[in-house]
Amino acid sequence: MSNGIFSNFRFSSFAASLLRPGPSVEQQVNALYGETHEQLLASLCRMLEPAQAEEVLQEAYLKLFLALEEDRRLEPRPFLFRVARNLAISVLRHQKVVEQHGMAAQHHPQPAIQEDAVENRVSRDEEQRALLAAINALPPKCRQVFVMRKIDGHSHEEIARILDISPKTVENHLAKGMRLCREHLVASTGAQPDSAAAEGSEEIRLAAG
Amino acid sequence: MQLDEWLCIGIPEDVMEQASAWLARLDADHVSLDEQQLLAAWLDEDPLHRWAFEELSQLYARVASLSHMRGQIHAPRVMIFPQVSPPPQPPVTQYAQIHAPHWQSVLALVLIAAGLILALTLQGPAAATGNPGNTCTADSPCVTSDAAGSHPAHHNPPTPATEQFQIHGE
Repeated sequence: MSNGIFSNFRFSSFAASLLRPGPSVEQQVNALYGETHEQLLASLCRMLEPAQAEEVLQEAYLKLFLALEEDRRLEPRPFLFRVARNLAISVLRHQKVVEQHGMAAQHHPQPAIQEDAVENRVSRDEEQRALLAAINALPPKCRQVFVMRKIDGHSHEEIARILDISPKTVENHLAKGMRLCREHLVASTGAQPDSAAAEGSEEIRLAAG
Repeated sequence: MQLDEWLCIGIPEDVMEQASAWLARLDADHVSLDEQQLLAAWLDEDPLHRWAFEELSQLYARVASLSHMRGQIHAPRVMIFPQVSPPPQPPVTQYAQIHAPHWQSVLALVLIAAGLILALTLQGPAAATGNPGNTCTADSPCVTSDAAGSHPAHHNPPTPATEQFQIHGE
């Protein structure tokens, strides 16, 4: 009996190694590279310098390769897209810090790490306060529609009827509300890396001294 | 860290416009199959589209978490009543409801006054001659049998009023 199970196990692992031979991860990544490289590069180039975009993309394919080696059940395409985007975000974030603090920040890899740590500390409370400020900064009509939908839970039709506007106008107010909220959040959190980097450089100075 | 991941950092403005319009469309009550297919095609068209849409969805979803801070949001809360749609109608019915009793009471007062005058002119002498010194009761009304017989409809309603008048009169 135990012999049977054992041979079964041997067989399945053997079959697995046949079905999923070593080079297949490479093949898989190569195939995906062929399908996605051009498109991803074009998209990244709308956010980053071409050289940076290529660098981010190469790192993303490498990360995908490593992740697939680890776990073969991974969905490669969504993973690749998410990783590429996150890498682009961190490059953009770092750029912002460099812009705000000149060359000093560029020489030290540490501020970026410090900044990550600080941003991780951005609590849910602070996030909500930032969102609240963003909503209260919306133009009145837009804010009314936005709040009726998202906070008070009215349907588009109800809002249209109560405010005597068309459902299409409700949609337009909501779309505008999202964009303005996002812009407000970007502007207000733009101050955060500021303090984070300041804190970071202070710590470096302390460590140096 | 969390904030940065859904702020659409670096996404071009034209893509943001499209993503927000799609998200608002999808947020409506009725989204046709055609529109859903169009959205799917748009998302696949460019990785930027997907990134923008996913991150903006995050932001949009997080706004709902502010409901416990409703008091700090500067937007009047609007209550919905079932008959909000025809706004001119309720005032009309209200007007009718308010003024109908008024009209009726005026009419009733006029009728009572008319009844009193009639009673005074018709019954005054009869009561004085018929039963002097006696108060009238409901059991033995102060109307003579011939008067009750000739005008039953007119004399029956104002009876209490005439009684009162006669009580006060004495």
